Amino acid sequence: MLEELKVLLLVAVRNIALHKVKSLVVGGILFSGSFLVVFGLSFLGSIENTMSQSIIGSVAGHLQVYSADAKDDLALFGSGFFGRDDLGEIPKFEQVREEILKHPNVASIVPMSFENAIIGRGNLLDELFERFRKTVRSGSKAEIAAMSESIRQNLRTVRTDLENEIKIAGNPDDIKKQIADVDLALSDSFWSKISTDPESLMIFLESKIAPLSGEKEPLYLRYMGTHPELFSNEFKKFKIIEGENIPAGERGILISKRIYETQLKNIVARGFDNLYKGIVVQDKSIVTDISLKTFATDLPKQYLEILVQLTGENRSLTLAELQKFMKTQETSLEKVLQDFLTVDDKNFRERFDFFYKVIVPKIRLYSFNTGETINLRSYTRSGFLKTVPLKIYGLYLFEGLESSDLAGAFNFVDLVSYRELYGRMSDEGQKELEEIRSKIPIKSVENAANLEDSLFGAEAQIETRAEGPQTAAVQAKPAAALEFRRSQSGRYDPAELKTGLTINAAIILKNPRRIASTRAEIEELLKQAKLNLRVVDWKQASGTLGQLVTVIRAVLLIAVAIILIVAMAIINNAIMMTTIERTREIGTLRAIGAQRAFILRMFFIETMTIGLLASAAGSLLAVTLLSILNVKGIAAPSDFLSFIFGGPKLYPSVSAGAAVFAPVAVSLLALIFTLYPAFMASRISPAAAMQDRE
Amino acid sequence: MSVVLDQVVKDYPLGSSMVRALHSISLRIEEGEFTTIAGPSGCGKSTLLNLIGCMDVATEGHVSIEGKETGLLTDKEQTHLRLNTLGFIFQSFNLVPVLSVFQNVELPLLLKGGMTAAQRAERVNALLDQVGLGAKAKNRSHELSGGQRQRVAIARALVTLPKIVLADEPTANLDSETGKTIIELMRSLNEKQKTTFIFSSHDPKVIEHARRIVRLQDGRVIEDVRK
Ligand SMILES: Nc1ncnc2c1ncn2[C@@H]1O[C@H](COP(=O)(O)OP(=O)(O)OP(=O)(O)O)[C@@H](O)[C@H]1O
Ligand SMILES: [Mg+2]
Repeated sequence: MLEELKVLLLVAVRNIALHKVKSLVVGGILFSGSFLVVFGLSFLGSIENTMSQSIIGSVAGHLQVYSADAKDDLALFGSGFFGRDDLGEIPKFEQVREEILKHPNVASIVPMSFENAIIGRGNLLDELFERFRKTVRSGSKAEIAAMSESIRQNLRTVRTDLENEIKIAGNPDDIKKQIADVDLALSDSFWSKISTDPESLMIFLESKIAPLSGEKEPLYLRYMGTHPELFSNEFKKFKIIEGENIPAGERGILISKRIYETQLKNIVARGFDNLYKGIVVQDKSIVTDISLKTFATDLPKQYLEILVQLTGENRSLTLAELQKFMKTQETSLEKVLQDFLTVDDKNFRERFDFFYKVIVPKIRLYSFNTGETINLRSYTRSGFLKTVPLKIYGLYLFEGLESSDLAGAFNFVDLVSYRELYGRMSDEGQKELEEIRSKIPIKSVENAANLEDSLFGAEAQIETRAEGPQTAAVQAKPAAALEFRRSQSGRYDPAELKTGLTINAAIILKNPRRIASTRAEIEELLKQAKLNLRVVDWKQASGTLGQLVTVIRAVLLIAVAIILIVAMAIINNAIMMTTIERTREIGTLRAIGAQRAFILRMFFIETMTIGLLASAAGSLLAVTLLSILNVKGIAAPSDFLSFIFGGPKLYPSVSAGAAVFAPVAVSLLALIFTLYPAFMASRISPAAAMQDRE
Repeated sequence: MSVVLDQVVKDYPLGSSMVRALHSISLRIEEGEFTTIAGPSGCGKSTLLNLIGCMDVATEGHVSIEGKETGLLTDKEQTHLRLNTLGFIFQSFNLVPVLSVFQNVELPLLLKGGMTAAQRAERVNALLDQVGLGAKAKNRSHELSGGQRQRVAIARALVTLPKIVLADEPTANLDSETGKTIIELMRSLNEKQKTTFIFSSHDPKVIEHARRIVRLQDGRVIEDVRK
């Protein structure tokens, strides 16, 4: 038997060498198949690992718990729909905390609740007119004249916009009136009043003209209410890079560095940043890259965002420096600025440097700075717009995920302020409210809106009542009618962070390997405690993102399956061809006494030899490549992928299982594909030995 | 009696009709005979040898080898018979190109099994010496001349000590001088080992070496003489 095997092996090896084309085709396919499987599975395994670390370490924890009454599934990275997911609520976090901490594998539980805030950004003409007021008060005649001209220029743009609007408007008469106002503001007689009655001129501009430019797009800020100290202890990727964490017992907000850079930075500076990344870092060209081209064409259109910030002597200083830099005599700052912002591949680097060195120190680079207070506005559950002033304590990022929009997509507030914006306050707050109510005579307490109005009138923190489903919530929950509180930045008892309302909570495990069993056990614990809650793992909690690897894996498997089907056809064909070529040889073997089974074995051993050799080589190449990449790393080609890669570079590791399993599986498959041709060969008649060669 | 043919008919399908290659042939070949099947091209020599060699079955009549009716055997039993009782020599030598001379000759012993490597080596080397190729054991077949190849084939046919050796035109691809030495080799092995040899040929110079000549024409035996 062993001797026969030796001969078969010898025949196999010699035949592989003899039928080079067939061997190359079959071997090549098996080689690539094995390479693909080993590389693909290892790569996916690595991605799954890094992505899980990104998700777990930045926000999800190992498990998430939330109300079983939730109508939507928890999707920590957004459900893809704008607006608010209905995730129910956990009214008494302390109960949940107590039960869950009973489980021996639970290290910690961190409350977290997400919400969107709206931050208004004023309007450009407002800013311009405000500056104009200052100039009129203290500026020189020349400055006032220059500004008047720039205002008139802006008004011409407004007029063109209105004329375009009139064509599609349902109420052209209103717009006609607005155009008349603008025409008046453009007229020389109007501007002649500047020396006689500047106040009435400015009031006209501020009251009639300013509203026409429209609000700048408001900023939507996603925020998470949590226990700031606990969060920073439990989520290792979390890092404060400017300022400090929100101190215990204080109200405040931490802004994501990513949001700070991509949304709160001056738009012209952002344009410069984007162009810098494209032209200098990635070595692309404005001419060929479409997104860079867009940035470049937008840049000069945004000159007002710089201009309105240049006041007083900064204006003349900037003009002088720009004239020198641009080598021009042009005296209109608008024009020089627009020229300056018209960049191309060649002049970009110089202008970028000039911008940051000369212009940036004279303007406000970010909408907010650390230490300042911003008004966070958000809709309460009962449908009122509520504003809470919060101090910006600092900027944070998730280490390794600096450039990912996913990881830095939200800001942090203390849970107490969250609850206030949510419209639910502590017992203490309730008491305070009762006191206010008892002191102030109230005409009607049935309706919350009336109550708010009667208490605070136009200055109430509650500004607008939203339309839609939230209104229904008011009627459904009469208790919500009492929701309001004078917004304050006062202190609170840090213990409030561990009690009361939260929407969901992250559970950190001691041994993450036991996620599945721990999840089931916690669910059981909660059930016994009669708490109606849902417990999901980080994958489920991260919504579609968590399914990504599963999807990629499915795609890979389908691709491999398709390749295998094609490979089957090719291998089948190749072996059939050589079988025909070898008819005489096989006939001879049969004639001198080889049984059909011997012919079958001969084919199988041949396939196994080439299969194992080629697929082992494929696996080896994949392992080698992965080992190199493990040291060198694969740079994330996009910001999104940097999240998946767990940082700017992915260091894939070899999946030992795949490296061993793939060659065996691929060879066995090849063996299956050999079955038919081998069977055909075993049917060759011994008389075929007599066939002549030609 | 080693080979008995009784009223054997062989038809080949040709398109939709049949071609009769052999017409009712009856023949007995005794142990140790040195027989040639002679006749012009297309007379049915190969067909007859294939039937004796268990590579094909008769359309009518009976073929028995060493008392076994071949038409009743399974493929496995036929193969077994070819391996143990028959030896084959082919017109085009039919050595396995990827194997060495030694391995080619050893192959039937490996298929048969039951011998140690040493026993096999002894047998193979002895045979190679007999056919005068002891020195070429390690060569591959493409390194040999036609005559040398046919000697290897003879050694391979004899290595299992078969009762009957069949050879279809063993000298057709050789020049007449080499052909003669091959026939002489076969003749001497026949005499020494009492192995039955049946070979076909249309070459008168080869035919005259035979002890018995069975002459065919159009699928019929027209002459059967012993010398
Ligand atoms: N496989 C086959 N299919 C159809 N007809 C065949 C087949 N083999 C042989 N024949 C026919 O049978 C007859 C006998 O052929 P065979 O090969 O036995 O002749 P031969 O005596 O060996 O001739 P040659 O000296 O040319 O080898 C011929 O007419 C041939 O055409
Ligand atoms: Mg013939």
